[in-house]
Amino acid sequence: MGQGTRLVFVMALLTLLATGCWDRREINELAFVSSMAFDLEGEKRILTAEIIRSAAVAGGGDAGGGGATSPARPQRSVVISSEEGDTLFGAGRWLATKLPRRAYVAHTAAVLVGEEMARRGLAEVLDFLDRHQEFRRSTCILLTRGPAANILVEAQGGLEDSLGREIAGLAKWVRVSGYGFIPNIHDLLQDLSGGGASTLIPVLEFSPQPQPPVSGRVPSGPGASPPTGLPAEPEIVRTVALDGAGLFHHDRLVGWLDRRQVRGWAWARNRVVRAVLELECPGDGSKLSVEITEVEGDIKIEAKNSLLEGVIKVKVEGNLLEQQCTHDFTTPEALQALEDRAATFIAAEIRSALEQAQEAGADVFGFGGALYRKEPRLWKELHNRWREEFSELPVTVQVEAKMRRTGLTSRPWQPPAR
Amino acid sequence: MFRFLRCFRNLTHLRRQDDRTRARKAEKYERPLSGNLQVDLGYLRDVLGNSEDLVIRRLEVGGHRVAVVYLETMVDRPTVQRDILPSLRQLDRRVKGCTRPGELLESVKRDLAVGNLREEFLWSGLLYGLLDGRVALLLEGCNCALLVEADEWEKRAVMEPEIETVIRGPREGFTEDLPTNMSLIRRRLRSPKLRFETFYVGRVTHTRVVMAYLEGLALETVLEELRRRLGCIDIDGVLESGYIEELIEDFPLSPFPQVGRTERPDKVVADILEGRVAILTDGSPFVLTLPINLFSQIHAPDDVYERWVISHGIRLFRFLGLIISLLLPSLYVAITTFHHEMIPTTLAVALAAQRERVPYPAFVESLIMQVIFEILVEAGLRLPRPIGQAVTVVGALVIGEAAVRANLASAAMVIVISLTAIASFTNPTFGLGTVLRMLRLPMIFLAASLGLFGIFTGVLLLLIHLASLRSFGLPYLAPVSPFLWEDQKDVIFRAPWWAMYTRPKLEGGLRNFFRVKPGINKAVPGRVKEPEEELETLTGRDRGRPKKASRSRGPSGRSGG
Repeated sequence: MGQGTRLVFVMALLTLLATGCWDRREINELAFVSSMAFDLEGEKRILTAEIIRSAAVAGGGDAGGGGATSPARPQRSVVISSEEGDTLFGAGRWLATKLPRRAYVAHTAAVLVGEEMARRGLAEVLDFLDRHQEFRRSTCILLTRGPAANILVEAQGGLEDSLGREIAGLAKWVRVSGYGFIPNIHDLLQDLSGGGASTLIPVLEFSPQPQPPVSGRVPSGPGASPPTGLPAEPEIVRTVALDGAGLFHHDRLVGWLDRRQVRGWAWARNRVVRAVLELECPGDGSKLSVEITEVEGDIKIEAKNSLLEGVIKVKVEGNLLEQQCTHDFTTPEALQALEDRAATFIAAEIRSALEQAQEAGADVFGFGGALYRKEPRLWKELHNRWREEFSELPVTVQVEAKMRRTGLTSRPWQPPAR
Repeated sequence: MFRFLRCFRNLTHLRRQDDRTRARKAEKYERPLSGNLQVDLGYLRDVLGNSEDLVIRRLEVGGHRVAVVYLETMVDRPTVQRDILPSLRQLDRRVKGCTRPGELLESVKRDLAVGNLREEFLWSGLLYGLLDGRVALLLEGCNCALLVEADEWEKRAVMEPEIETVIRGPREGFTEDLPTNMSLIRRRLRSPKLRFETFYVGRVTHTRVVMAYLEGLALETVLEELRRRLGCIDIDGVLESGYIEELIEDFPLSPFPQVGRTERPDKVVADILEGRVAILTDGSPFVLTLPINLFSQIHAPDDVYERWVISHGIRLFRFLGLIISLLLPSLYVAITTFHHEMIPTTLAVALAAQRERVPYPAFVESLIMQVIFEILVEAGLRLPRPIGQAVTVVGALVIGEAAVRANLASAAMVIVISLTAIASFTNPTFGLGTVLRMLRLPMIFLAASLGLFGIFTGVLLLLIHLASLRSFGLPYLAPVSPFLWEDQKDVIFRAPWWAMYTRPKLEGGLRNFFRVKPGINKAVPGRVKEPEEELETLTGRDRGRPKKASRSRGPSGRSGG
């Protein structure tokens, strides 16, 4: 091995050592941010982060020893840290003065945006989230009525130990109700870049829940404990729930939908996976419920002699799963009547959402996009005043419902006649 | 300091020594026997230093003085006493009148009741014959010695190999005795084309080394090169086949074994059948096979003994095990120190929680555990078996429970290291597994300094190295890296026997005999015939009916060159 070769070899080895692992961060030196809230107060941006206390997570060494008795109230094992600044990123960096670890946002599950911020415009939030290399586009985004930090700070954990995980879980399972969905940043960017440039973000609200009292021994301080044997008073715990949604035109909040209207929108936009319709039984005022299992929503726009007409076509399939009355639904006629009723019900929901959207001027149904795809030239003419056009757009809603099954039984169970 | 590198780079140990040293070495004993019994025996005593086990029995046969010489440690004494001496005595009566020593020699050669008889005229032949355990007959007036085979020494019985165990397959393993080993091969390969070629290697130990191959199947170039390399070995002693392996390798600096080793005769025979050459070394139960490639080392004998569908899966798991054993700790280190976003959130938090009280970075943590584990493995190997078990138990406790309790390591790291440890022993040949075990440390180092980028750099370097390796001229990544479609049937997958039409292309040369007759699967009785037809055959009815045309057809696919 020549002198030169040897030198090159040694140098190459030394360069490897000289790197000094500059990007190295041990996993326990990170502060995992589970969820964040962005608020606007005057001109100040307020960033609130919910940081998982990994030491408190199960498996993190039972250093406490005797402290194994779980508290009655679900607690989040998190630390909330809030900071303000002129920009979001600036506010984020101020967090560093408070945290002994590096705030790490790649595992952020959800982002909450306060009402103020939403009214001012989502652009800066989206820019921040999209530009930063650690954020994921799959992060959920939600809206709050009032400051988002309130929810982040005051929510008391439900099943999960952090609000971020709570929301991630909601995002996965809320679809079975049909009442909502949780978009992620990617969906949002896509919606806002489309023809209608409108979107809808669900609202996260407190839902006060009575915490079931713990029977028997009450785990609390020896002095404060009530006489043994008496159940403690149930207390109210603030968990979170999805409740309605905010309508956005471009990136600004322009109106609200309630839960029913969210579902009305979801029918049309094909966002319903499962839903339950509570319909009236024929005859008496008792109810029955129909579970919708298949939904196919379609939005079209037709231009006839420069007159635009929107069409919302929804095809659903469902099963009759519950009935309070004793009506016999095994006949084709009865089923047909039921199908009609379901269709009317759904159409009403859709219309209600549509009216609200037209009032607010937010084309969340995507008629703009449909027009752009069908008549690009017309769209070019109209797109500058599309908001006005949409507000006056006549829309026909066609719903077709099919009942497939009636569950495991065909007729309702009745006590034997005496 | 780097001189030995230069030596290896030029492979000077495989260059033929200049002939003078060779001649000097040889000429010492390359002298004819004198024919004078007194002088020859004196010289013999001189050369062997009047060793304790040297027996010289003087007799008289037909009026001529005869000496029976042997080393009593090497021969079967009953053979000498029951066969050789009595038949000489008989001869003595028969050839009473014989006068000339030449005549006596002839009659001894004719009448001695032994199997293997050889004439030697040179001292070297006589000496090494004696040292091989032969009995020498020296006749007064004859300048030659008769060597009679009577070797017998203590040897281990043929036992089950301890390292290469199989679930299904023969349980015999090679022993330290060369003739036994040769017979184990010959018994499995009763072909007139099986050749054994003997070499003596080692200036002092004079160890017998035997090449075994199938004439006409093994590559002539490989054979030629192997003969040359074996001839070039100039070493004082060969105690294990490892000496030879190291001395004939193409790339002495590579950590990867370029010569296969096995204790299993069935494996050796399988290799010979594929056109490889086996090298048996006296005194070692490990037989070398060459040329090999990387993949043949990952194959276990069970793969071809067990049903092929199952073998597919098992082989895949074994490949996975190898990859795990090389990469898992480094992947863990890289991901937990650089790429936290790659782990699911829950796991990330759990890992962080586990590492909460561990004072060292993941890199140091993994080094500690790795070192502890390697020490345990080594201790387990070296300790006497009863104590070895105790060490394993203590080791499991130390590694598993106590290290975590003492916050020296996180539980996840223990899992990673133990999984790696187990995975590294899935390798059937042990040699490759050890290599990967050693390569793991540099990999962890690369991962700790450069993250996943470092790991991929390491893997790339490794692949470059592997791709440039040769085993006796054949590429090390053979059926994959020069991609040979026909040979894919027994690399990562294992084709059923009835579809293994040809032998491996490179080892078997281009003389690619059909290994399995194409279409043999269709020739299974009952497959050829329609079911009802078979029933008729069985019941003996309708014998006169013309048979339907057989459905069996040869395979339409590629059956190899």
